[in-house]
Amino acid sequence: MFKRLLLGATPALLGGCSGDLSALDPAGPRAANLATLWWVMLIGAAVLFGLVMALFALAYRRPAWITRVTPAQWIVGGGLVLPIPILIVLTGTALVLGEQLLPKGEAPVRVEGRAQQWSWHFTHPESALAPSEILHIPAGEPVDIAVTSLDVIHSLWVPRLGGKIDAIPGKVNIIRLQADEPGVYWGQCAEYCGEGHDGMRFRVEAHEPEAFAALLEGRAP
Amino acid sequence: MSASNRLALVHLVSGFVVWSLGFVLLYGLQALGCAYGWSQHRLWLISAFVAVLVPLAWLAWRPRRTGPEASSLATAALWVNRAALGAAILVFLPVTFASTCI
Repeated sequence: MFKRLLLGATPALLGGCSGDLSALDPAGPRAANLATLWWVMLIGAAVLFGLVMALFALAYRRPAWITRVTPAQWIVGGGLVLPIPILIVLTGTALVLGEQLLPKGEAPVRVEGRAQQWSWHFTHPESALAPSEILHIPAGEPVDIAVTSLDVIHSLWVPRLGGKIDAIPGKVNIIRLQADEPGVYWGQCAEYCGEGHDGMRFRVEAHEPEAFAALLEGRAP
Repeated sequence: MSASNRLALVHLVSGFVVWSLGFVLLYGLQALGCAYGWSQHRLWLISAFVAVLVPLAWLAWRPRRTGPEASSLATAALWVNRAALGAAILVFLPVTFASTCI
């Protein structure tokens, strides 16, 4: 019975690990950082959960072992020795990986992204490429996207390429994304912005660098 | 409730009240510094960090009665305040070196 339950639950548990909008299926270094952080947090949570459950089981199966531990040992062990190293590792990992996501210096390519209920418009300044609802980027290179909004707050998110950033009216926020390979990726507005929010998807096309240069110059690649 | 227990109760909450005020202060300074482009932004953040640590360190090590007359509430207050100091160092320390503005 238990085995059947476990087998039945596995596809449901793993179903969210792939797909167009899966942050656990990274296709670039920034998304990979975020996926790593997610796994580190999951492992940290699982270790703590496992330890607590093991102690819980011991309390039932071997109560004599548990009663040997004094209240002071429980407080120091459970309240300090157990969580502090795990919290330090989690905080340190988040800091190091988070710093690497920031757009430091100038990226080789800069795109302007404007959100308006319920679509995105991307322009490549000083290029022959017309403004488009598709975000064209080169593969293998970091791209800065200067994001703003024409109405309410939206949030730009391409789960397989990187983190998310709010699009705020009157303000320009910059996010750096990167795709390792040419291909089609999908983004989704990540901030509830009205009844069309769930359909506010956008397409990202990552091109080979030569094809991307040709696209910007208005030549057929 | 006796006067000493009332005082111990105040001490019990003091550490994490100071911690939360420090959190709001640092959060605010970080945002304002980025919005207005302060030239001494990092210095402001470090100063605020030190200013928060001073009362927390005092609470963690202040002179106190020890021995059998110290109530359990006072002992709990002491250790909660030490936890608040540790939490402040761990959580606020990145303001001294992490990136501030994008």
